[in-house]
Amino acid sequence: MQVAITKAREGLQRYNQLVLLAVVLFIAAVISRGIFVRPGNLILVIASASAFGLISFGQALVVISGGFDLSVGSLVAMSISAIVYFRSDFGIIGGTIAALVIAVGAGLISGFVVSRTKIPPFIVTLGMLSIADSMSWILAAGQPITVPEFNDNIAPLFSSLPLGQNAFPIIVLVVGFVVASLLLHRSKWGRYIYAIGDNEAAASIAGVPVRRTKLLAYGMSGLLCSVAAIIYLYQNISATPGEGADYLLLSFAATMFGGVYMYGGEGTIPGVLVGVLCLASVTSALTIAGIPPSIYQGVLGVIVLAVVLFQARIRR
Amino acid sequence: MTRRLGSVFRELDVVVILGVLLVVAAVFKASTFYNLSNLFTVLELSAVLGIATLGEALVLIVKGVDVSVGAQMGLAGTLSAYLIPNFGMAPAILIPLVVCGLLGLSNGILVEKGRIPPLVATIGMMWVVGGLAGSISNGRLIPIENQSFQEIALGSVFTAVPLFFVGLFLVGVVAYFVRLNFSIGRHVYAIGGDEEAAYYSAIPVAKIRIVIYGVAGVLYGIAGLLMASYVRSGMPAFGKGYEFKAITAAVLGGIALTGGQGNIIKAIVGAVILIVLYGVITAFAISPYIQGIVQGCILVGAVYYASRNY
Repeated sequence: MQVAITKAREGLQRYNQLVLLAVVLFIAAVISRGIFVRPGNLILVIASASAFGLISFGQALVVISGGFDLSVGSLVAMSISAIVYFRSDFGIIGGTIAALVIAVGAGLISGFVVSRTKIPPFIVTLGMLSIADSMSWILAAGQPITVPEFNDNIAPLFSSLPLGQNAFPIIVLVVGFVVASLLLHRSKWGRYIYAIGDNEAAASIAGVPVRRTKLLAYGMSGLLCSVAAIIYLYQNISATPGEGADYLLLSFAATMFGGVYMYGGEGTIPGVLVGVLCLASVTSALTIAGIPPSIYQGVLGVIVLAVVLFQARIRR
Repeated sequence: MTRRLGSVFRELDVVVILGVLLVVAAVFKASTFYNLSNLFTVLELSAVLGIATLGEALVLIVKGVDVSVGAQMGLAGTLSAYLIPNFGMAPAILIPLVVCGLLGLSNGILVEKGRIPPLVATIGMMWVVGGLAGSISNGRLIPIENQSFQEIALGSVFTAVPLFFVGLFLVGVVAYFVRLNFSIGRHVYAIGGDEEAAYYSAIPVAKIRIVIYGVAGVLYGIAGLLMASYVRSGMPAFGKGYEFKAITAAVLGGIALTGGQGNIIKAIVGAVILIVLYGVITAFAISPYIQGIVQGCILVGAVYYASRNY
């Protein structure tokens, strides 16, 4: 009996993400009365997962290194406003470049403070959250934002493809996935991230450049947030300043769902992708089922807590 | 002698900061800052934030963190606004407080029994609570037309001191009294200081921590009700950002994030400082959007200042 339980537990540990995805897809199919599994809807789900998938990859890098990035949502908001602010002087391309630079800069500042001081990461990034949120209002002068350029110029390029409009977000998601996977699983820097998250003191003694590695993790998170901002504008065209705060919770949920260990040192990018797809599926199914957004926010919260409890339990 | 002066300064640093702010306001913007209605508002908002900060400070002292502050405040106000037309004052005040207390207890249970890090547990709870509040209000604002509920915010003692502030004072006195005269006051600090030592000294660590999360929940509930009375309506989003303000105020008041250190009264003064600071920023007619930048810098700066002693 004991052996069977241990074996079942090991099996769950190894394949829990895939089991979760299967369960989620099944539930989604049931509560949406089958509409969810139509190909058209599945494509929409993946496209809608693009922006927050990219953010979640960045969040995963930071969490695996033993930190937290609470500023992701406001970095998206700041990037959106920065694109608008600099568009008037430098055009849309210049504005986009400026937004990328600013978001990476903000990430690097967080990373610098985290790696150089004893201030806990959640305080540093909470401070950055507040600053970036203010910046998004200041840069947009408190006005609603409209940026049709991305959609106008990029969408026609893919009109002949079977995926149509949705091709661009999906392609960017795949590229982000490949890049993040290569960084974390095939590079020296990726191994450093695991080493630091597992045991920072030991990693430091073993010669891992702790400060530089952390700096890069937060910088990557900033970069992915600004790319997500482009996807957001491509899909929604308009926004209000400060929008994107929900991405914090979503990215957190996706990383936890995807098997990233909340204390760092464990987790994979493919796992996070599964987590992202799970959450996007839940959201889509709940929307199809006609449940108002305010309630599915609560449902998602319950799911996150359940997953985290489960994670903490199988580890004991 | 200089040593003693130094330690006196360290004890009173928050009062000094507050004094400097008040003097700056007096010198440059006396007429806009020092008029009765503005001071009244400053005191009222200080009370709302002060009570929420007290809850957050208690949680920080037992080495936890609670980011569900704003969500719980929003829920308390929304629930109250929802209940008041049908059930009257008393249930509309008591039920939200009980609900917030239970939510706080569940935070504590998730952290203690579920072994989830407090940040993750309370982020999840923030979401759940937001969903609850959203399903009550259907995403809309619920106005409160009950006269006596509105009057809580309008009421005052000696015309200059709002009832809110009297409430904050009472809550502070109770907290300080418990701290000095009951064993739980010492146990809370013992748990935050060295959990293992506290455990082997037969202090019921898990139970106390869960209770503290519950007490914090009730305090957020009170803050949320005051807020609802102040704006005469309930809406889930009204507490937004308060988790951030409460943590900043507590840290500014010298509550250590490492647990086991800090004076709750100073934390409340920290809340008053934040509100006065916002008042001064407004008096100088600087863009209101700058608040967030100031707040972020204060938070990180205060923690940095404290972290040199860790």
